[in-house]
Amino acid sequence: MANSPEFFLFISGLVFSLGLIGMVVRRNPLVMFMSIELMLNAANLAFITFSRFGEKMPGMHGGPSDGPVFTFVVLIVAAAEAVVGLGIIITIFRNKHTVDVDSMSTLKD
Amino acid sequence: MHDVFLIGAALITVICAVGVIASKEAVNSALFLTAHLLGVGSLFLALTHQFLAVAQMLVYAGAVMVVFMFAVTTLSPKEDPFKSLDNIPSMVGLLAGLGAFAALAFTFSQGVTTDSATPKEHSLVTVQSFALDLFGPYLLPFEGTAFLLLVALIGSVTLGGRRQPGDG
Repeated sequence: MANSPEFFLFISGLVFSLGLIGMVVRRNPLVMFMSIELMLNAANLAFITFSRFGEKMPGMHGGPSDGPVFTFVVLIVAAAEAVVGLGIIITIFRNKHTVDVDSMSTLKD
Repeated sequence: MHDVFLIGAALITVICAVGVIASKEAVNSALFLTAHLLGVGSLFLALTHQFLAVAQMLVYAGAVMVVFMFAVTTLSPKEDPFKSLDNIPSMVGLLAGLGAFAALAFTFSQGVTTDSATPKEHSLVTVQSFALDLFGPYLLPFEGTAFLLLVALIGSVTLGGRRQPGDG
């Protein structure tokens, strides 16, 4: 029962929506980053699910690694994004001594 | 037995995702995220992909979470997640998230239920077969990730390095 594409895609959609809610509602940039990681993970799960259950994607190689290659790239992008993004957050904290995103409106004033 | 494992991993994944966005302390969010990533890794294993399950646990739950923990301990921010729900934009965001879930669930329930949605004959994507694909037809994206990591490295050094006075 549970080993069906709908099951995995349901989890993927649920986690993506939770990440979206966290990204919009929370005001703490660290938690917002974690919400982005949730959304990336949900996309990864959908990729792997489609690679396991779906048909061959047009223009792709056709083997079992079509979806996982996307997941691999997303993994690297997430790692790079976390490093650079947290570096930016720490630089902002050094200069402004606060991490609330609502107070980061220097360009607006 | 397989179903019990699957549902358990899915429950861990979803509950820990809720914990990430509903925790007051950022360090709790980070720990929930680690458990969530391990849950997703076991789901990858259930979807018969060995390499990504291990890479998920090493790269995400290991390396990325260490960076997150470092940032959390440096900043130690605190925020009541439910207090930030009392303004209009956050309510709109909450509704948008629920709407996105409704749309996704509807689309997935419409699109996948076909006869082709059966597991393919390959039972397990081994590390060997994935490596042969990664260094064969997908060599260009692989090299692209190497370049991306180089860019991230340069960026983090530029952001984190102390500048001497008079460096321009």
